[in-house]
Amino acid sequence: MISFIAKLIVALNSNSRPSELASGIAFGLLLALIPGENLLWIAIFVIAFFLKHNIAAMLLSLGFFRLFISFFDPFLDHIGGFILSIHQLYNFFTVLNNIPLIPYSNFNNSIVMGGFVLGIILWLPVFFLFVFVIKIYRKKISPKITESRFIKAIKRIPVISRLTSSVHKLSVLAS
Amino acid sequence: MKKYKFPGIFRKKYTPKAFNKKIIKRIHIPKDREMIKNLFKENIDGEMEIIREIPKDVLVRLKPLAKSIRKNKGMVSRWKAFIVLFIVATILIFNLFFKDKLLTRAVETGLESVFQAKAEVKGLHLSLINGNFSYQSLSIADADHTKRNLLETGSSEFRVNIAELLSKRVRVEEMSLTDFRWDTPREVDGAMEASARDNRDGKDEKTDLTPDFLAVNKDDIDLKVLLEKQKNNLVSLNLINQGNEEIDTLTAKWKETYAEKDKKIELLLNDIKSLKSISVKDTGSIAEGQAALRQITDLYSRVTETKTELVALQNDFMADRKHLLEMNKRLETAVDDDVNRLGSMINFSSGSGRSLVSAAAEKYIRNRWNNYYEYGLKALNVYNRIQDRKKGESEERKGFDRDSGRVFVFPDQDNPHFLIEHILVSGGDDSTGTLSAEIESVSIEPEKLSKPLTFTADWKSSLSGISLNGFIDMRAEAERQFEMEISSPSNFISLEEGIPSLKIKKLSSMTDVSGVSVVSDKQDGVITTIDISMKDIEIEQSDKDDFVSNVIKETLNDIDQVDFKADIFADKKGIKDIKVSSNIDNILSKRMGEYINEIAAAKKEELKAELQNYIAPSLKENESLQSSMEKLRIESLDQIDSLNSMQNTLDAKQYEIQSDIKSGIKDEASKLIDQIPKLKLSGF
Repeated sequence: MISFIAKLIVALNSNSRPSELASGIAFGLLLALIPGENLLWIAIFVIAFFLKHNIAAMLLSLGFFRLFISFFDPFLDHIGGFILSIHQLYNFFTVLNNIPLIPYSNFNNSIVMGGFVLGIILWLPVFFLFVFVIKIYRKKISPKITESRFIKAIKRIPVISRLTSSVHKLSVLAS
Repeated sequence: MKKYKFPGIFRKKYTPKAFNKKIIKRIHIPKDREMIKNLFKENIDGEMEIIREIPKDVLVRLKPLAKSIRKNKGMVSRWKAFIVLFIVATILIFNLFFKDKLLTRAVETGLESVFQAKAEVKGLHLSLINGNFSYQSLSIADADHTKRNLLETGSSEFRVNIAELLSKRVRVEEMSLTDFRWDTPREVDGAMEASARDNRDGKDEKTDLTPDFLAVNKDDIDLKVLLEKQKNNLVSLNLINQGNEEIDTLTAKWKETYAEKDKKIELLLNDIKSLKSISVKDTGSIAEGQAALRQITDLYSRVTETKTELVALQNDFMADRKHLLEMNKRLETAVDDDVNRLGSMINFSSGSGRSLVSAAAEKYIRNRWNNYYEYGLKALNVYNRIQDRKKGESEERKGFDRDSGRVFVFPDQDNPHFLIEHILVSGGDDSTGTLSAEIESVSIEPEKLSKPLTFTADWKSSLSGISLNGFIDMRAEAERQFEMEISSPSNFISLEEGIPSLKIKKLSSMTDVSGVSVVSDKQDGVITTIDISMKDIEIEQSDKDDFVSNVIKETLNDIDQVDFKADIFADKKGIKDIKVSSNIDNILSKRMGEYINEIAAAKKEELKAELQNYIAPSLKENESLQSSMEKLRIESLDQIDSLNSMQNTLDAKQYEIQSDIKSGIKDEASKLIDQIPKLKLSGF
């Protein structure tokens, strides 16, 4: 957990693409919305794993969103139930149901479908939101933090200085 | 000084457009971006080129920056492919070396939790590509008898359809179990951890108060035990206890009441005594006499009042006594009723109706069928445990993680989600008999199948054999849900243990059995009709002089064949009812009737004596209480008598005082007359 947080801080302050961090967070949300133990979740995880984005950001956001996601299950059930009962999509879902391996995705479960659709819809807004936030952070907040007297004072504390030096080393290695 | 070598991407020359695209756009830290922009200048050819004079601190930052620029390219990481390759390789290695071992443990754990007893699987192999699952041997211990196996199989193989498995459907094309055996001995105890098993210590044992019908020998029936067990149901004993309680309460009540009255009578007696001492004669005072008379009148009215009260109380007392006497009368009939009821419980089989042979056959069939049902019920328990586990898992998931959601069903190929097409079972050997069975179309969705579950089973040994074949049709449109034909011709049956109560040491015969089982009309159980035909019956008597065994032997010699017809009704809890009739019932019951009636009469007398002995202590208590009530009755009569005598005393005293007053007045009058001078009237 701490190493993930350290990696995230490193990524935030190194020359990594803001889109990598943002897509990691967006994928974390998507994976948190879809209940596990089905092929759809595994497939999305594998795709997310192959894409170039920050795995630490993805795992941290997945863990974070998982803490609260069960409160939204009734809402996801409602969305999923609505989609699965659209008459025009009935034939499509029937075909899908007869394709090998697809039944293991549990797409016909209202929460899986609701989580998947909501995750896809939220993916782009979350992505762009975090790209924007990271850019702002790097441009406005990060220099101020590094230059602030408070941070400089904190950095003089032995434990913190050791931590920052290891983060620095990590960032050098990462870049 | 060593010349600094710039990183490759910074040594190149770029057009302004390419510089922007390949370098500047890949730097995401504004400070670094500005630094690089300052380091590159446009040369005479119009290309962007790095300047040579760069401060040392800036030079140090160029190398990591160049690395990060190279990294910020493309959408897919190649190194991750190596990780996937590593995972795939690990899975393959696992598949080769560890899969079967882990699966063996998983199967054993799963079976142990379902059967609640030890399970061992040997030589397990799973091939996902071929859809094949096999093992060399499997044994599952019997949770109720841990030194024995519930079932055991030898080499077995399951062939699974992979295409169906990819569509989330389990279709076992063939399941062949060889060397199938059940109820075999175990070398190692099959008990699980004590905590995991059901607590069998507290299991109720069946207490059947009705003695074995065949135990007509009167010495076999323990009347004391029967009376002790039926203690709470004995009307006579309950009546005595109830009577004793009532007498107890009434005695206490009446004792207290009569004691109070005693005190009152005592006071009256004292008053009468003091009144007795008054003598008007001696004092000669009329005034005192009149005062005494008033006192007597007052006392008299108190005595009369007390007497009236006592008479009313005695009426109440007599009513209570009458009630108790009635209870005593009821007791006499209750004893007879108890004897009759207990008599019916031990079933003396008055010899007129029930047949010994049919009862023996019923007992034999019940024992045999109960064994089959025990196995059936074990299978039902296993099924319930699987269902409970599934339910528990879903509840656990629901409680601690996500909601389960709703499942929308879309049409698929209309194949059931679980189907075993063909099960082949074989087992046994020449010594125990050989078994072969075939079951087809086992599914959890029978509606999706064109035919019902069918089964055939054959068991053959050198002396006997049995064939079963039938079907289970759970489809909605099914005419009959279950039917099974039973056929077992030419069996040699030998009752080695004989029938001791009938003094039959050994019984053997050739027997043909045939029958059919169907679901009852109400669908609440299975009705099985069996025809049993016994030929060449041979009986060995343990006591050749015994009347019963002689009668049976003679009867069996008179007829060629004994036919039985049994109607068995069984539900989920086991056999509910068995009705057996046979062609020798009437002959035997006639011959046996007299004998059994004799035993029954003797036993009833014995039972009556035993019951009287049993209730004797309570009756003794009852008698002593009755006598104390009787004492009270006499005491109350005495009290009334004493009040009567008081009244008499008062009457006498009143008379005495009145007489004394009268004589006193007379004396006074004569004295007065004497004092008057004698008058001489003129003219006389």
